[in-house]
Amino acid sequence: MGIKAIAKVKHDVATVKLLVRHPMSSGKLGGGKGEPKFINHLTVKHGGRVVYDMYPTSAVSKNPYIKFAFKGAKKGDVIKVWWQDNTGASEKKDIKLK
Amino acid sequence: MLKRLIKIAIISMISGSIVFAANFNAQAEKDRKAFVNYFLKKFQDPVKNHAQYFPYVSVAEIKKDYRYPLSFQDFQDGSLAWYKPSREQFAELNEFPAYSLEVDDGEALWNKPFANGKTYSSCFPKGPGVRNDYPYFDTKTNEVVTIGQAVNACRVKNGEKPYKYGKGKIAKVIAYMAFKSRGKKIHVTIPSMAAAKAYEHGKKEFYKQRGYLSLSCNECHVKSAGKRLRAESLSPALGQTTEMPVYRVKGNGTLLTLQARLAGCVKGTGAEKPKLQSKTLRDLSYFLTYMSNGMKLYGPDTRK
Amino acid sequence: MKRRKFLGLGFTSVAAVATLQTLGSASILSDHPKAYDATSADAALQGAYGTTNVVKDDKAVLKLPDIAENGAAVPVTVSTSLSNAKNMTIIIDNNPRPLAASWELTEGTIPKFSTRIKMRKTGNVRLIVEDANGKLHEAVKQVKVTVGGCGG
Repeated sequence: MGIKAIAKVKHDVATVKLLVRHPMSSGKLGGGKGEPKFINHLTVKHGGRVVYDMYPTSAVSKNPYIKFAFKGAKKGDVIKVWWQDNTGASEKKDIKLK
Repeated sequence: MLKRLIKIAIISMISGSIVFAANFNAQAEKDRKAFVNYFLKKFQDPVKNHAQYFPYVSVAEIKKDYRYPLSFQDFQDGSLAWYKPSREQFAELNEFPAYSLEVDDGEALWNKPFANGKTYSSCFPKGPGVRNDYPYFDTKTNEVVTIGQAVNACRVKNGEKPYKYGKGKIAKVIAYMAFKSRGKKIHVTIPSMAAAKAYEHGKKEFYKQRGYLSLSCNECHVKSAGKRLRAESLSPALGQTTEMPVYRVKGNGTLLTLQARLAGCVKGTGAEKPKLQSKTLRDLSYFLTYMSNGMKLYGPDTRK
Repeated sequence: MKRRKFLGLGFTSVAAVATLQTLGSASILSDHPKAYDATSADAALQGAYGTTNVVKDDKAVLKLPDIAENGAAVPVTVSTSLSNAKNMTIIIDNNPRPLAASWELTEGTIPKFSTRIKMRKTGNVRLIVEDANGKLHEAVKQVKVTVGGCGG
């Protein structure tokens, strides 16, 4: 569905901003129509270690925006973003830290 | 002395020809200057002219939450220009704006060749960064041409079906063009008598009272600009077209074109919704954009 | 390395393919998917943490606007000054399902996250932070949610 990222390193702290394309729809659970479809788990890994572990619900806005920071990063390192939604769909993307 | 006389003669010969061509916008220029001065004066010192222009807000609130005086370019921010708490919130929403996804989609659509192999570049040789060239008055057809019409004209010329106006794919393509046009100045011209007529028609539409509430654009966006309407702050008409197409956060977020926004607002005031790309809306957008001549574009943008 | 057991939320609400990724000990939400279905803030809290016993102090920090420009996207930043806190959870009192989001905290990650949440109407938003000893710290903020006036 699409993951956009702005990821910068200053000293050894990486600040990551993500914009993930996803409807995050509550469907009939929120008084709307249809089945709910929302990301329920999103992780970011750095060097095999989980640096971000989020469990959203359909209360997180459409096209979720996420911002976090972690230590121990270097410019050029790669972080792996992965998400899964309640219907079993998933997506992953590698992002290089600038 | 003689040198000076010659200089004056040459200058008046050159400017004479320019003045002759610019004659068609003489009235428009008068209107525009009055328009701009009204808004600059209004937002110069809301504390001082509190009683006249901002009666529903306390002076304490103005001192705490308002930003003033506003410069000409500040009006690109619409109703976010003066209210600090809203500005902060939208700044957070714009940290990674949702419209960036729309712009990406628009870029993909722009670069995708038509069935005949050509792309939009064949109709827009200067590239996508030409948002500030629209709307313009076409002296051959004697009609105001909007950017949406230009995009669809390109599609039809190359054997493709035109997009539906207002939102969706057309808005995405225009969003990409707007994004590439950021910082460029609005420069609407009035090149002929017919163009001046279209301008005057647009102006009439702006001041016309409509619907069961008898509201006009002028009532809310000039006279009441800066005031609140329920939970909304009324945006000034000056600078209103700079953020188009606009990404409205309301209702989960939709990207809308100027045509859709104008039509939607008229409907919102309780009047009959005008048809997109109708002469009414095109001439209105011609007038409205002319009023912001000289302002730099900043589109798309996130608004309520 | 602590590994986590994963069971996504909402699987119990929708008949769909359940993916089980064995990674180790669970998150509060993955362990208690019922918390997601809770329809009151207290029930959500109870479901996620097994208690409604919280301490209101400055260890949980919640940043939200006083008045939301749009209930569909309210910017929020959650953080804690505690080191070695285990997790953070946002509960939105007046949402049909108050449990909004949760984070498992990991070493090396600065415990400060930003995102955007949906609020159905004016009400309290809570941040719950579970510290290393299992004690719950809470911050509460009331956010006014207005409906757009002009529409169109």
